[in-house]
Amino acid sequence: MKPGMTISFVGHAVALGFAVVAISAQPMDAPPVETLATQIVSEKDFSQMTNGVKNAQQLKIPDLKPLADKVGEEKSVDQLAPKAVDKPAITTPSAKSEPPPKPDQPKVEQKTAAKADSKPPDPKPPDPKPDPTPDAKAEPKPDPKPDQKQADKPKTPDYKPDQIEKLLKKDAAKEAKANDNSAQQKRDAPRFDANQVAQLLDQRTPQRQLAAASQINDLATLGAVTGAQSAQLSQSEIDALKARLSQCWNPPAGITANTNIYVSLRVLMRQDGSLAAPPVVVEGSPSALGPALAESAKRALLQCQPFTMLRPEHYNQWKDLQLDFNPHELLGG
Amino acid sequence: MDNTIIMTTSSISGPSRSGYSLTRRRALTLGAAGAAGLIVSSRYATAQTRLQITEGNFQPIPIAIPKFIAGTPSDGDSANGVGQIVTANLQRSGLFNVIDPAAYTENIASIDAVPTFQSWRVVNAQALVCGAVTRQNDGRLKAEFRLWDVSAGQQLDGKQYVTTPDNWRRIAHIISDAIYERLTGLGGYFDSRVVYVDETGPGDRRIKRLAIMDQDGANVRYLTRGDDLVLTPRFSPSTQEITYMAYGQGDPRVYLFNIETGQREIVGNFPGMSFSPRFSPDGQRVIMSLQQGSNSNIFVMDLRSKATTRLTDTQAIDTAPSYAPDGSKICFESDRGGHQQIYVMPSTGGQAQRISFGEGSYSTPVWSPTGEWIAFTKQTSDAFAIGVMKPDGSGERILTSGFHNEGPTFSPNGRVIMFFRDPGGTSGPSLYSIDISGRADQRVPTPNYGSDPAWSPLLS
Repeated sequence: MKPGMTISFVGHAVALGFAVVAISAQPMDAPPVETLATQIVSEKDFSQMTNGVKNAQQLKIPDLKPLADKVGEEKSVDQLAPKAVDKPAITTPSAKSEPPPKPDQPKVEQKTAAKADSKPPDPKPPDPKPDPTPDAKAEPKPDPKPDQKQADKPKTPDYKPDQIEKLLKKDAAKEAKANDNSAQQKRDAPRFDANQVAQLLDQRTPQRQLAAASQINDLATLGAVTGAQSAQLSQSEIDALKARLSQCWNPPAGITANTNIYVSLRVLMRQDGSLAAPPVVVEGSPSALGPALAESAKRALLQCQPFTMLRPEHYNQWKDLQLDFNPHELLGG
Repeated sequence: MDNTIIMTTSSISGPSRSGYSLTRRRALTLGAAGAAGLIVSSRYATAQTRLQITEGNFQPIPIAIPKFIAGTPSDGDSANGVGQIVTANLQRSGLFNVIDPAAYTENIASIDAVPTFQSWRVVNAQALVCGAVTRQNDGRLKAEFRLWDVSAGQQLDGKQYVTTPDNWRRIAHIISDAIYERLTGLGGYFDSRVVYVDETGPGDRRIKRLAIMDQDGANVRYLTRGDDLVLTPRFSPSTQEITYMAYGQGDPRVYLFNIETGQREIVGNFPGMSFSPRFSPDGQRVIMSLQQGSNSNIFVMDLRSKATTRLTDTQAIDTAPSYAPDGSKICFESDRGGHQQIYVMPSTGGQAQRISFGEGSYSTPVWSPTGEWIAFTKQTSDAFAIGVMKPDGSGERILTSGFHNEGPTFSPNGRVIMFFRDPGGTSGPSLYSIDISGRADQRVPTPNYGSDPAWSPLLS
């Protein structure tokens, strides 16, 4: 045996041995893949989800769940709202009638929106009256307390804005008494100092608290009018009807890419999908092609009935159809 | 031949119940109805589901044409003849599918009775034509027809015509036009004629005569005797006049020929001319190309005063001009860019714009009577094709391609193109017609070889 052979054997043995140890020492574990839960939703369900109903039953206030913007430990946002009385008084002479920024205003509106239908909305700042005793300290800023109250208790059905006024008056009177130099301030009152505008600004950082609960509140809201049809007559039925009519409709040969013409037919249907009466022209373009176009559309309807793709449970939606036959896309025009 | 036809036309309304005949006047008032409809429909708008149907399925309309009824036993031949021509016309247009009469289950005994629509629905007919031909006591022929919408159970049209018996063929074409117009919304074209060059004799001693026939190939008459070689007849779009070119001895002569009076007039001798002049839309002027040296330019000539105006002045071959139907523009072929291509320019002269950009060379452009298309012959390395494109050069579409296709001419409604096709070899050219969609490619029967067709305007 030649030494070269020996060296080769030893070298290979070392390399193999190292490889066996090195590779097996680190197990190659595939990290577990997280599965993603999916659920198949039909178009009908989707259109129902995304569309409101104009005549939806109105929710009673006790049915409302607490607002929840995120999932988490239950935490009502109302308690976290900043107390507006904490705000340091702004001492510019001209600041008397400046309404302070209200960081919690959006939240209040959101709450009251639920009640918007039953009552005329009252988003006005609860200080409509001019303060009878204006003074430096008594900023006509609404005490957020009444707001808080309103937000806290959406259940009080006989809530009246007058209560806030009373409270405000009381507060104002109290503070006016405590303040000695109110008379002097009163004289300086109406001057506006442009150099001190910065002081008028509320320097506090805005506080928008997210309300948390065990689940996000996804209550259906009052919706758009257009939701009425799609909520019930599903897109798949509409598409099937359109496809069937397109297949049946043999437009007159005089229609060309340049022809801009349409005819609109009113069609009354029976529950079995057949026509209850011959289609009637309700609109049409003024054109010599009009009669030929209208008759071709009528033929399509008469020959292709019954339209069994329309489901009887949605009969109310398709018993009275208006179909516009508009051939301008026919020749790619 | 007497072409002035004395004919009374009257509409016939529905037979037994209140007929719903949508006539042309009614068509025009549809606009007013549409406006009223807007008001009516707004009332329904809230309760209705409204859908847009924007796609359709173009198909030949299935139509049933039972035998026309003979008013008296002796009218059998005329009645059959009219019925057959109507059937053949509609079938040949490519827009109708005439249902085989063997499938008909109802025998129409009277044109004034309402047919049993159910028995026509079972044969899938969408339209039904009932007709009758009667010879009246005064010797004149009365032809009448009713067009029914089978699925709606309504009469769509009904007319009667009275004329001299030898006009029965024209009556059949006029009835065909009425049905065609009513169902397709297009203008008719059956009541028209075609001038073409009739070719007889062996290839090296071909006799070429000018001939005229009905658009379906019937009633062929010869307009010249064959002494001269005639070429490229052109029909006036507004009068029953043609121009054509004849090679006798020497330079080609251009003639103006009135089909109705038989009057012939020499327009002039034009050396090196290759296409006959084409008429302006009003028939008062002709446009042509004249050779000057190795160049060719386009000129307009007033037919009455013979005053000539030059439209192009280039160092190229500009030829085969054709007017747009509104007379505002012309199209022509030119090799100013190296190859023969189609150009469009104002009919008063000015800047020409090239509209054809495909491979090969384009020639013999002709503007359709509707203005929508320009038909052309396109020559590639191995084939001659007939095609159409829009006047801005878009939408180019080849309708047929082969060894030799040439000389497109439009039907009066712009829907059908007639051209001649030469299969090569020892045979000669024949006339063919094709729908503008590329369907219904078929031969037009002529007694001999035929070439250079030119379609007339409608006769009535």
